[in-house]
Amino acid sequence: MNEMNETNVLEVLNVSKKAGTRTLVDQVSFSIQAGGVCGFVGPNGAGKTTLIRMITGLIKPGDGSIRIDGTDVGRERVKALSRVGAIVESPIFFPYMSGRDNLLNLVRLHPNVPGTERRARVEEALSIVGLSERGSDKVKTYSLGMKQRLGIAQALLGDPRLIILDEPANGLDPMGIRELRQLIQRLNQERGITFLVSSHLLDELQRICSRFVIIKEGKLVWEGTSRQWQEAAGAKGIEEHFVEMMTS
Amino acid sequence: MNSGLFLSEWERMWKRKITWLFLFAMPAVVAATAKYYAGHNRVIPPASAEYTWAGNFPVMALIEQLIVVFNVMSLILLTLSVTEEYRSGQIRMVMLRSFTAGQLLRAKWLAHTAVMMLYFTVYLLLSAAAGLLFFETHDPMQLFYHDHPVSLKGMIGYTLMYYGLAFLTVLAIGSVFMAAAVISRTTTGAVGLGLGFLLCSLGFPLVYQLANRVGGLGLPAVVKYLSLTEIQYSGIAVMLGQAQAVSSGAASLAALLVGLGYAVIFGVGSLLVFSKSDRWM
Amino acid sequence: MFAMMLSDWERMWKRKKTLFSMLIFVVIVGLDCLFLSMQKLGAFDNVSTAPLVSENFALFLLKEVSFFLVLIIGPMLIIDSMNGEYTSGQLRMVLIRPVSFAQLFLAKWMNLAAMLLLFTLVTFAIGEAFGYAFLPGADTVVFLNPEQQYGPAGAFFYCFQSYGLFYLILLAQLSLTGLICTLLPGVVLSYLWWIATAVGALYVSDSFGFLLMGMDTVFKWTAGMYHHPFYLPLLICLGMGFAVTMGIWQRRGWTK
Repeated sequence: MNEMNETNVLEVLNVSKKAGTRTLVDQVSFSIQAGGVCGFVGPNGAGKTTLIRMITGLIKPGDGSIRIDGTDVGRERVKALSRVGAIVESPIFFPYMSGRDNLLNLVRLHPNVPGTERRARVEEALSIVGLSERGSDKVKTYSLGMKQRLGIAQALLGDPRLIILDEPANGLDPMGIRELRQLIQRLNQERGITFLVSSHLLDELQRICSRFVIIKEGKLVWEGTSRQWQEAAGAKGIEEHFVEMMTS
Repeated sequence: MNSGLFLSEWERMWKRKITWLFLFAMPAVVAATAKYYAGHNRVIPPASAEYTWAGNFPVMALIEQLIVVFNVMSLILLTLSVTEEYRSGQIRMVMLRSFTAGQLLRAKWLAHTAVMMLYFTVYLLLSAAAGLLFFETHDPMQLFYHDHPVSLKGMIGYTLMYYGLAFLTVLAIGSVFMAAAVISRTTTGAVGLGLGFLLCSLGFPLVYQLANRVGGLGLPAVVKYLSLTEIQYSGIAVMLGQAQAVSSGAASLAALLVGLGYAVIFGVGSLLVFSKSDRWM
Repeated sequence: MFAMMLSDWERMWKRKKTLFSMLIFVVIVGLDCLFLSMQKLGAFDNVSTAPLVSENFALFLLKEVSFFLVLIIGPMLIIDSMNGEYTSGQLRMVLIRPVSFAQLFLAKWMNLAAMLLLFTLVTFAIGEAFGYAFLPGADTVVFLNPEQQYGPAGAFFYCFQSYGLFYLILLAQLSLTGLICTLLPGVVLSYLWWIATAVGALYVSDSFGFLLMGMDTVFKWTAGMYHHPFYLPLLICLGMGFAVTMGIWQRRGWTK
């Protein structure tokens, strides 16, 4: 039961990124307060993954800056990411290892997890996503849904305050999507983890998100609370409203 | 054979940058080879068969580059066409279209064959031009395993035969590379296996000749042609030789049987493994 | 840093190829031992030979197996680690963690250096053991330079030094292949480029011939008969390759 504090977990300030002459992300600014679940919405090619790559420090912003817990990702990436978990695009694991071995291998890379706690941390993450029983099987035998769940498990390893999920519902069946939704809600409520979730499934997002950030062609077009968005959509419903937003 | 399938494979071959890279690298390879032989000419007498003239440069250039350049090109093309395609799942797009695995593999093999044939042709033309450009003309000239010098006119037939046989040896080795590509799960594995086969083939004649000498086994020298690279290294010249001292007939027969043997064993083996396995899906 | 090395080391050994390469390599080394011991003579090049004895056996063994290290096992391990993991998307799981990219490169470089050392030491150990177990000993040994004679201890150190120099060449290869892997978008292209670099170096300048003809160079250098600069080009490949690659890893964007 984490109290809502007013500090921003994530601040994106005037971030731009170009590839050659093409502008992928254009002067985007938004912030996420601790404790919420933020939906990150936009059509394919809007620049969502590019922004997520910049937030996780995989690529550097051409302009502007990104701060996590007040630390600049560009300047002090290691410190900024010390309590961030992420899935960037579809989670690709080391296929020749079991799910458990994958996590054991990756948990070493978190300096904040002491050596004696690694195994317990991995087992905990596996049980949270319901993979304890299949943990010893090679990842190449996993279904898409299991890989997504293992993806969330690996995001939990470093005791994160912020988890960034890029299209986590991709390839999940309706049951899987419901499980994912419940998982995000549970982790958010019980552990106070803040989420940034990109997805196309507006109805799903609407059920779990307290805020929305909407981008189109690399530009921020709307930012606000879930309630505000619903009000703006009015009787049309959010899907219709979203389509109008994107085509206008 | 389904010509549509072949064309789609042929097209995909040329969609890969490496295929073009090989083609564009050929002038550089020919130039480097010419530079090497020009230097070599300074240290050997013009009467030697090793001395390079405009007329024998195409053959000399092939001798220098056949074992490394042409074999490696074949290995890379096959690895990309087979191992890389299934590793990245691209092969599913083709397999879905109601062809049998056997048809698909044969189309890949034919496309590889066609590209290699093109490479040989381009290399021949380029080296013929480079020969005229960088070396003197001399008529007639001395060849390996020939008792009498050969005229320029005779060189044309000799060169074409040499390139043809070299092409066939590359296909025989290619069948081994194909098998390596089919059984490997990663591209580095396929390339590693293929290069390992090349190194072992290069090493075999040394081991064989030594064992023969030291062990006093008295086995015929022709057994060294069990190694395909040895056929490439000396076999082709012996096959085309016209000299009392060398038995070209026996060498030709041996090379033919060995080449066919490799092609059948590894070609059929690849087909069987490829058709039987469902991990392609 | 240590944790990063451990995690990379673990992945390296979990790839079946690593253990498989090691087993195949030991078999090849064993076969080469048999082959050499039949031969009774060790060849430095096409002309110079020396009788094979316990004291020089390991040196000739290294010449026989060096091509497998330089052309097959070395590039395979290096490219899988430096290029394959990233281009297949697997490395992203590591990159999104609080790790420094430069340190990650350093960890990979040091692990690969350790792995190459392991293969070199295995060869040395088998060579020395086989030599002393199955070959006649000699009071004095000559190597490529017939005027320099060595006693058993001197010969041992001569072999040891040669292995060390060869290992340095492997490290230069590691740095160069690391750079190639970083600049090129796929494993096959990286492999091809390394072979082209090693072979092409022969045509470019004799000073870089050591990349492909490592043992040839080591034979001559230890005998004082190498007429090109050795350490300078070697250290340029090793140091520049390392520094440039590390710089690129630190600055580049990771989009796979």
